[in-house]
Amino acid sequence: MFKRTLAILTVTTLWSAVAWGQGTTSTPKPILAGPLAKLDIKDAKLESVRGKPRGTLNIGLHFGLDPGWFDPLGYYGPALHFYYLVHDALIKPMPQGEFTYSLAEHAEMTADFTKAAFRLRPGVKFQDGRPLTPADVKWNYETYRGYNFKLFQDKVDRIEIMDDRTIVFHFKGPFVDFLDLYNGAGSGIGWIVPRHYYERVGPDAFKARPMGAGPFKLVSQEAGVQASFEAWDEYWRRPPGVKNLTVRGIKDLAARMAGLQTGELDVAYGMTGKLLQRVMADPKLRWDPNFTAPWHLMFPGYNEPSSPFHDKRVRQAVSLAINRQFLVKQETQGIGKPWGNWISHENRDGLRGDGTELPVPPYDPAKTKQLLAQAGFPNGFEFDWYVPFVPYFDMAERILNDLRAVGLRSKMQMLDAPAYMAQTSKGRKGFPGNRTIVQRIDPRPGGAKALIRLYAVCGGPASYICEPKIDALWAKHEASIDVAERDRLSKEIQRILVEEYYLVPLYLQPFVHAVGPKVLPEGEAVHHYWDTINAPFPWPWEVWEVKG
Amino acid sequence: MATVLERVPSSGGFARVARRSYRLVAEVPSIPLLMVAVLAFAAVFAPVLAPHGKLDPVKPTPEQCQAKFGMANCPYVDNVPPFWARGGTFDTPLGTDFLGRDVLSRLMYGAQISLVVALTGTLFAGAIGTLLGVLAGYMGKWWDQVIMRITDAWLTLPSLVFAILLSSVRGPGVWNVVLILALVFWSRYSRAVRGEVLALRERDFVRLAEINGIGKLTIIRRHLIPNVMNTVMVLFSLQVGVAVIIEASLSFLGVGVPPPEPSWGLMMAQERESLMEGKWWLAVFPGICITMLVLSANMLGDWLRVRLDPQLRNR
Repeated sequence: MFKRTLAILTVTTLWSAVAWGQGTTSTPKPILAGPLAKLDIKDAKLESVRGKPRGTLNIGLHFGLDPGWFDPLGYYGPALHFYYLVHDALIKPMPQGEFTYSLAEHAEMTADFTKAAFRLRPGVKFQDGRPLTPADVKWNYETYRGYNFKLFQDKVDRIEIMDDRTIVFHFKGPFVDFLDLYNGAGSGIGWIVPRHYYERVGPDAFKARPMGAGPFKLVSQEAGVQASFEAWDEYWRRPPGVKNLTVRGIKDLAARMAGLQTGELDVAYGMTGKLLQRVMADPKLRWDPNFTAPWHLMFPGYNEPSSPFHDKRVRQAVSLAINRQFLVKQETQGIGKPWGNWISHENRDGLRGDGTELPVPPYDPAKTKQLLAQAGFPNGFEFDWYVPFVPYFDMAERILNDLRAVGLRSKMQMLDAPAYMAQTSKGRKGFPGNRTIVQRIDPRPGGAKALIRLYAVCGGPASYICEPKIDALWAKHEASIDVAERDRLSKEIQRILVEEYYLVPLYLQPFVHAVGPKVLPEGEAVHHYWDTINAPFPWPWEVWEVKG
Repeated sequence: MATVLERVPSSGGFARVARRSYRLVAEVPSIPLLMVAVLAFAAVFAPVLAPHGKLDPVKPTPEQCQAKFGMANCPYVDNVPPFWARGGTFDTPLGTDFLGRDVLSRLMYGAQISLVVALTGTLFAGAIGTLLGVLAGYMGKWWDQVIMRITDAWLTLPSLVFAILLSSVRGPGVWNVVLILALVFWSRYSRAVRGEVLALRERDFVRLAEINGIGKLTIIRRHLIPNVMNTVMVLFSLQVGVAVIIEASLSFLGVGVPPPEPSWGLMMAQERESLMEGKWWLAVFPGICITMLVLSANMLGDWLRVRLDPQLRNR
């Protein structure tokens, strides 16, 4: 009897212990003391069935590759495609949510936003087998030199390593946007590169032969042309579905189309334009509209009095001259949506530009001419350059055609992708004259405020805009720790930017991706690859599968 | 004692000139000349001859808009085929492009750009190369060493790759392409001219001029440059074709003439996708123009080479 009671007690105790253990996983032990901010970070979807990677996935990128994109410490735009392959972040956008745990299994922020803490997932490591530690996270933060690095450095007071999995950031004051910016989509700072390797080989060799904690290892790369990867079976979330993955930079739409049709490519991006109809009609191909962000026009140096775009009426004339409806029809077979905001509605606190929150800009050539005459340009004028986003040159020529119809004449400056990205990321310094229109799109996940900070405030890394009215609101925004007030201020800024025509939105871009017959699953179920919110490319890559 | 040569009165001078001119004209390959003449004529008189503007779309009729887009009014109708194909019209004999612009008009204006760029670029290259070649050949010593080593180095550079590099530094633009062509091709002239001058400077008339104390610049101007002009002209005619190809290639690659200006290379580049759609006329016509011009320039250059070389001429 005693033995039986003892056995029951032992089993009960063990069961309770297991249950308590599970409980601690779902409600982790807090790191920070005091009241905490409510964070909406989704759990990672762990896929425990560790299948064997098979087959090769060939991707056709619509611009040339830049080895610099493998180094998150010097982050900029299109690099995210490659970060999701080779590197991993503490938290990043995933199909589960805009903020999803990745290398970190838990994060906290104090209610006053002066401290943030992360606990790393147990056993995470780099591709060379060395453990990924809080020391790497700290070093990455301190070494980062990409977008917003000054902001990160100015805000941080000290970084404390609590134990072999826990790190705490102490800020000088409230840093409300920390998680927005530290999130993998917002900058390169949250993507962890191995300190031991980076310091040993140096930045240049790292770009040529990067190593990270992501699902794929780089095998080889030919600068500008292609990069080949192979699956890293020990990736913490799941082994990748494909064994090999190749990304080729193919600027030419016809070549991408031919690649899809011959089976040389399995995925091709940017299939809008002249061949979209053919993609849609091909029974062997599947395609996803993948709405990303709105196209918009910017005017570097508009705030200098010598610029013709200094006059609001001229900027408004530019907007009214563009026949968005026809442009959408010609470029996207009508699936694009004329849009009244330069920020996507998928961005948190982004105003909708479909007429519900901001009006769709009209097409009115007669009023355009009237405005130009009032601004002192009855016969229009010639401006230096129209700089299109690579490789949407046909679209740019259509816009130039609309502008020329009202007397705004110019020529196109066709840059290659790395040159375009480098120039636009320099902000005002990228375009020295003040008679240039730059066409841009930025499908950057996160809050609208990240885009405002980047493009619309004085001293923003890629900003051409410096307006006291906007900066006053932005200063208020930065000083506030009231999330609702910050959202209101962000929306007010968005409204000013559009109403004053500092930025001229065009249409919400369907960044059409076409998929070949080798990609699994069969049929329309393939759309699940585009589940990550606001993602220009169909990451994460480890879930992709192809026929062996 | 000065020797005075009496002018020998010519018998039938006019008849001889006429006979020689006739022989010259008769010898000129007529088809290439005709092709160049047609293209040059089209280029020069494009503003008068072209049925439509080079940049503006052709205004469509309501019927065209209705047929294409199902609407009464539209800014343009794109990809109208040539007049002989179904859906084509005589208003746009070679069809319209993706922006509804008349292909024939753009080809005419494109000829302007191709010819101006190729001729001026080659001319500048010829001027620079000839001058340097004459200096190297006649002045000798370190002049020769410095100029020829630079020339040798320059000649090793693959011309198209070098042109692309220069283009990416200078940026797109018609006059930048001219400058690039000059910078790419001068070395061919300097190498050839220097060889000619090395032979010329040993000739009696140059020696005599030197003995008579005539200045070096005058010797270069009066005796050397006129005597190397045959070689320069032959090179020039052959290089024009290459320059057309380089200009077209640069524009095709997006570093030459910037859109929306029409250039044949650019027109081909912009319509690559259309070939896949069966809209062959958009890329084929500019291609034919490039072929015609390059082929004609090469044939004329070849003829000129034979015509100006006594050994080849009498063979």
